[in-house]
Amino acid sequence: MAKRDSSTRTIEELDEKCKLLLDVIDERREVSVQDVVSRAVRKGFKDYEAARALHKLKMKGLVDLMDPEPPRRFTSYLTSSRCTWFWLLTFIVILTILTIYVFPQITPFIYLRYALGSIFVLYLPGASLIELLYPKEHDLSQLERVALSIGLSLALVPLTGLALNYTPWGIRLDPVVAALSVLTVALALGAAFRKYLYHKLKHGV
Amino acid sequence: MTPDKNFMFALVLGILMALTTPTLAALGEIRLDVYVSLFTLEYFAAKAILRPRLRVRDPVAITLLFLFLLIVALRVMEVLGVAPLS
Amino acid sequence: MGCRSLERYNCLGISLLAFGATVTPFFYFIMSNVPLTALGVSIMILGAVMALTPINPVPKPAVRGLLEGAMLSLEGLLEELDLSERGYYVAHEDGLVYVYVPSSKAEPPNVDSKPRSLVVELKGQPYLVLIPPASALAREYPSTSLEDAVSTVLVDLAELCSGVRVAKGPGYIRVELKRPRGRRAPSRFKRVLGSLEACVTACLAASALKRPVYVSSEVEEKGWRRVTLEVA
Repeated sequence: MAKRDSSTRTIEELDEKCKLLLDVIDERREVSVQDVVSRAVRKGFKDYEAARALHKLKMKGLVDLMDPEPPRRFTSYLTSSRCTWFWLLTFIVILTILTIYVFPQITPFIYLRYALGSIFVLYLPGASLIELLYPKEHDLSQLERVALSIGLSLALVPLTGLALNYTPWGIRLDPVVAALSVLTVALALGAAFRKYLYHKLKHGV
Repeated sequence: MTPDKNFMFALVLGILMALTTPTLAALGEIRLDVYVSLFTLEYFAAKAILRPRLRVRDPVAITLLFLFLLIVALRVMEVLGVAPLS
Repeated sequence: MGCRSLERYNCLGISLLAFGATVTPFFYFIMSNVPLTALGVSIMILGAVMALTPINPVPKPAVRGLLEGAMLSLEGLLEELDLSERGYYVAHEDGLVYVYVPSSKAEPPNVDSKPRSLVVELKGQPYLVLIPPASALAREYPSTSLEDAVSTVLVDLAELCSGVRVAKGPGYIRVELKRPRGRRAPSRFKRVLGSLEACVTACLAASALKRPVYVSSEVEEKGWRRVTLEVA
């Protein structure tokens, strides 16, 4: 569902397509996205142009997209498209484990292992912690998120190694992979729950 | 009455450092950089969770971050065989 | 800069910092003892944190008392004038937030300039103009994030609740207040301006968004109060 925001922000800087689409969405009326796109297509838009213009308007805050049936429980929230990032993260963790233990250690799989291993160690732990600490989209910009994710990963991974050093398992491949996988997924699950709490508040479910 | 979060931050940080130092000493750790690295991580973790307000921009965080990066750089150089870290 | 100009807590912090800075080199270079050196470093860090902590000159119960006193005063005025319609929180260029209370059901006021009298007439509709309890706080504690601003005022400054969560939707803002502990607002004040916590939140929202805001509903559930603000 799309709803036009009745703010007095200037629309002069918008391109023609965005201005046309803004006229399609009546002031203060709620219309479905499908309706908006089909009306835009009748005015000469291609469907992807309409979708792109709608996205630009959303980014500028001139329209807001609402889910008519938002998920109510955490399990349904976790399985909705809002948690695609969580499943993508989990998939990369699982794929990394597969490249280490299952895939043959020959070209090109070895390069895949290098690439995924770098992401697994240098990005994912910090990214999941950042999502936990700053669950709202507008808390940080994308660039800040990426930079902080790398920085926090550099802090979390040695800390994990330090903790493993004092355990019977020590700092070897299997304990490190297990510890980092559990840590990353646990932090991501915590982040998903925090996001769910804000989702519940926003949609009043 | 909930304690002020600035006091909580100082209290939590104090407890964490008070636990870390004797624990590492009991484990026989004699590298100062390990202590400083853990203090840095504890500081940032406590700051991220409790979010205290400070009078000015955080000079403690900047100093600890600089020291942490220095320690990491020296360790990497040691691993690469360029410079030993005592 | 003597200790008189700083709070004792900050003075203690400076003392610890100085103590740590003195003993740390001694432990490292003279005694060659790493754990004691680490202890000296930790004392320095703790001292620096304590020295940099701002101390509230006005205790939290006093801030809460001042807000509640202002609330009771406005209740008297609203009762005398027999007003019970929802008020609209509007921020003006002087940084203060004013509440426009219509005499009868009315649309949000379209106001360009600061009000010059207690009663103003806009498009034939008279409005009583009030300065709500948290109006000046909204000017003193601006923030890019509404959640941070509400948390600073409600939790840190006045201790009116123990936690805050803010979510924005199209044309509305929902705020969840954990364990609100303000005095129960008098009925007329609550009908016109909302509870004390809602009033403070609406002031900060109007100041942050620079758009009229009103308290649309308040729901209490299991130690939480959910306040919905509509943005005009």
